[in-house]
Amino acid sequence: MLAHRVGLFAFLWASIRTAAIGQPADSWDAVGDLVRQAAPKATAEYCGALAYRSIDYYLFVLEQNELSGVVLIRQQAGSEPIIIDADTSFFPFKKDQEPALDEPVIDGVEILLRRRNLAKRIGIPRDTSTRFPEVSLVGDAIDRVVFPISGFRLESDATGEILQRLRTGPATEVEPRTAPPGSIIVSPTHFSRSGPVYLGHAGIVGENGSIYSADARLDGALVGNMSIASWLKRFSGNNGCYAFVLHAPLEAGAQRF
Amino acid sequence: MNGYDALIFRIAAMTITFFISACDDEPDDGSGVPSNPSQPGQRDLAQADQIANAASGNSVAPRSSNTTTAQGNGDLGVLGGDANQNQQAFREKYGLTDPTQDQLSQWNEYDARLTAYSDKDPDWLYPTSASANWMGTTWTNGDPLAVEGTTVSVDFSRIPRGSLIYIPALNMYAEANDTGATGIWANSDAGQMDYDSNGAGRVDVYNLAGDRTSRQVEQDFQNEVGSNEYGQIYIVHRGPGWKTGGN
Repeated sequence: MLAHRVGLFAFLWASIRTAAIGQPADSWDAVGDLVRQAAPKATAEYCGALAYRSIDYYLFVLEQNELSGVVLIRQQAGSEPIIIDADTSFFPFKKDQEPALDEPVIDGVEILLRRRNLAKRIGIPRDTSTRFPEVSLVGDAIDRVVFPISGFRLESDATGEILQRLRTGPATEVEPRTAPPGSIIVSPTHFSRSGPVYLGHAGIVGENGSIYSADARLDGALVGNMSIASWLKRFSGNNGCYAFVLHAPLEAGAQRF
Repeated sequence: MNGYDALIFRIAAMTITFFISACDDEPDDGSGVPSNPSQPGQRDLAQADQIANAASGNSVAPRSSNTTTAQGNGDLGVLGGDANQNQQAFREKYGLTDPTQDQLSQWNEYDARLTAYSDKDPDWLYPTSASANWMGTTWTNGDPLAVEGTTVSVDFSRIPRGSLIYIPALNMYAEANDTGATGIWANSDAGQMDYDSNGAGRVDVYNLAGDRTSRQVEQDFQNEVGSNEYGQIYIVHRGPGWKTGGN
């Protein structure tokens, strides 16, 4: 098993490129154009590319004010590049479902992200972390507040997975406009194959209609500088807004009906 | 069909019915309004209160961050029309440059909330209630024009009419020569930072909508300022005296 992993990583290192050297210029241009057009307001950071079964994959990190996220682009010879994944963090697996990508590609993306984070000295993995290399800390910032109180963790920084965890977890969905303080609010990232990409976000509703969420410009620190009104205005059109109140842990012997 | 077969058949039918009903949710309209909202219990709400308090306690205060008050890049294209040219001409006419830290420390800093308004707003009034603008342009009936790139609408009870302000999030100097829905703002933002003891109220930035709808203008502006919607502004000069070099 170890030999298999070592072999796989060696193969991936050989396949990974940090620059578009060797790419046909028009192919690289098309990828760059796609990213720029998909998220014109965001700053796109190229993290590298990998090739698997004659298909090229390009990884970018997007930053737009307090938001950050990843975009993975697939380029097959003779066809236009397409976006195959985008979210606040890479989210290749859905529980109990087939992975959306081949495992070598997923491992390759992980290597690219780890290398990017190492270069930037961010996202130092915690001993207990099972998360993908962090790009955004939207879920982590919430977990740090919520877990000590409720015992519940989102365990993800990808808005799509956060929404899924809340919908299937110990939580009651509530109307976002009137979500009580302490609710978790999430607006999942939305994208289409040829763009646009609308990065999502997640946070905790505070008192007086404020929202506390991770700010990418502050290394993911929790910041209270949005209101529910501005959140809805910003995200309800393209992302959708969802809010949840976590269930309080049951006392010993009690039953929830 | 014997009794055992009938039981199997009923279980199978119930299972199929369950799956059909489970897949028959109303389509998600993206508004986030749950199709079947339920009420959280009292214990859940009590826990939520704890979470809200902890979030507040663990958060970084925006004012302590240099980043949240970071200067914008100076591109006012989002405001539409000739916003960039107008801002440039405004600066040239009054000798305004990007402020230094020394200048910022001398000006009065206030909490404010940045919002957008435009000529496509349904409640837009013609003629405007703006006082004379720095360009001296007027409607034919003599009423002054709002100028994209330099006009902001403010609550005159918080910022005196005609004041010169600086908005770091946009790197924009602006003339507070228009007034907005001040009563509504004060009411709806009560308890928020723009109406706290150091609050300057809302600063509604004028946009020339062009081909955009009122909502698109607001969305574009929101995307541009992001979390800086709740930020700081500086009053460079209170009242209109800066135009003539006096008070």
